[in-house]
Amino acid sequence: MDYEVVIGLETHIEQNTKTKMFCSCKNEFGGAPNTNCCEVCTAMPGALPVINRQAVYNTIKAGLATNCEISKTFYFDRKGYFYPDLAKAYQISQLYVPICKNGKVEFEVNGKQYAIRLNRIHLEEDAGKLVHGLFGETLVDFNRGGVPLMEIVTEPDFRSVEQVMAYLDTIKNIFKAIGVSECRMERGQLRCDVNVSLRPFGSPNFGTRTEMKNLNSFKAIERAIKFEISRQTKILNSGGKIVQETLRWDDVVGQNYPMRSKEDSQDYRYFPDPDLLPITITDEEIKKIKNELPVLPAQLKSEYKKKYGFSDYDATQLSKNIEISKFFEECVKAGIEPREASNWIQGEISNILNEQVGEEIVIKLVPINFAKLIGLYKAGEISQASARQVLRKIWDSNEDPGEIVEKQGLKALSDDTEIRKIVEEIISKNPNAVNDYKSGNKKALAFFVGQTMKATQGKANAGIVNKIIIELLGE
Amino acid sequence: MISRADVENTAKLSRLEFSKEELDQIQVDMNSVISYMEILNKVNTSKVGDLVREIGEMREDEICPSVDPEELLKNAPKKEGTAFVVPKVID
Repeated sequence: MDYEVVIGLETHIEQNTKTKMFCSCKNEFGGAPNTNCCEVCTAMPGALPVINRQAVYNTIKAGLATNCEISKTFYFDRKGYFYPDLAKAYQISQLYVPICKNGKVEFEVNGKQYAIRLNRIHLEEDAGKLVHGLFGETLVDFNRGGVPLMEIVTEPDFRSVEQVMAYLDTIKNIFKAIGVSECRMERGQLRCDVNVSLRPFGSPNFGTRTEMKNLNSFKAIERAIKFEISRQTKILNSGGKIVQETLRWDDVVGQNYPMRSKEDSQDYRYFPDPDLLPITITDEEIKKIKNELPVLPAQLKSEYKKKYGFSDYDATQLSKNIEISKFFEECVKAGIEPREASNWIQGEISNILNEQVGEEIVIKLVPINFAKLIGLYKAGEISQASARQVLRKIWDSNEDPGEIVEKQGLKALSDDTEIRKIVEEIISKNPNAVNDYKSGNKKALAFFVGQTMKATQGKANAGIVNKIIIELLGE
Repeated sequence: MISRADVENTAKLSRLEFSKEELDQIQVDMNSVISYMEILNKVNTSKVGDLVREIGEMREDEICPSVDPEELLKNAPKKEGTAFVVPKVID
């Protein structure tokens, strides 16, 4: 039997504020254990939390960027649980009145538009980091404890893995664009809990769901969901029942394992934190934050289509990542023709980025320098193949492209007589290909172009080469 | 009414262990606290306005020096480098 997949997500995103959520300790990744800590974030008796205004504003910004309603008055609650990563034995979080609610995130999968409803975005503090030692002990580091953390909760609106991945890509790019987080997954700045259930197609009721916690790479999320769908399908098809439980994904083994049994099901005993009074945000404050919102990827996409006449596909490729769109705009500012810039970004630059390690996009190429290179190429001074070669040289060295061309002797061969000599030689050596060409085989032309390029190490001016071959073969 | 199960569950969640006699006494105490609160519940407050005044304050996002880790870990029963050491936990 075929089942419909139903998925809901809880995504945690750490903010990039200067300081922590409830104290003025530095919010910084890494560092020696407990070096960014104080009485508040290590829960010394009597220490009191004070709310970071910027963290609240950032959350409002995130809500505005995802079409949420903003609560003008909200407060924080205590979520009780006993675990050594949480010194107070409760986490300051929001249950009853989150800062943002009823949002919507739109994205595309294979050209089809989808909208996922957000239940809420609430603000809380991150927990500390536990390192399990070799000698049956656990080391506790509270540097991460108290870092402002947003939890974005969707309704169970996803019907496929592809939708989940497209949504995650979209919110990652939105949160990066509005500047509230770098969303670096390998640093735990974006983490995901996934709820999966199956139901027969057409059924109005949801099936029993399982929850997978703390998935920390896009690849792991995708694999874990696929595994869970096939696991649940097998159970249901053999007449079994799904047990509602929390699962831990083991990315090495590629399997889910039960984490907590049901009898230990959590009792968080939420209640309003008496240390923190309710906060009221004014309309003026919300308006000011709204005005600070940058152009979001979706708006940028339609802007590019209108301004540059790009296709839907090209506009998407150039607008979805902040690093790419920033670079593209700098290229245009540096004088590169927009379509030329788009072709290079989606061509050789995309190749280089795909070769880089990690999920982050890092462009060190200096736009002005890149513009110089494109200038040389457009003027016919170097071939496209040489331009690609030079691009890789200047990618992170910022060397002068002109100097590289000079030093490596990459200057395009555009001397008619010289190219003519090379082509004549190739023609005389390949009578069969000449016959092919004369009997109308167009592929033979490509063969001669290829041979000429090979003979000139890719330096020949392609236009001139074509012209000469056609001229010589035409007789 | 606080039942015996409520008391036991609360103790468990707080990671506290009590003898049978202590549990008996705690149940009595908790019930007396609850019944005391019941007196307040009887007061008619339908004409009294909201007493919560929203005066929550926020701080600016400015870094202040953290506590020296030596000082921070001074009372830790066990430490390794500047990390707290606790018995092994697995989830």
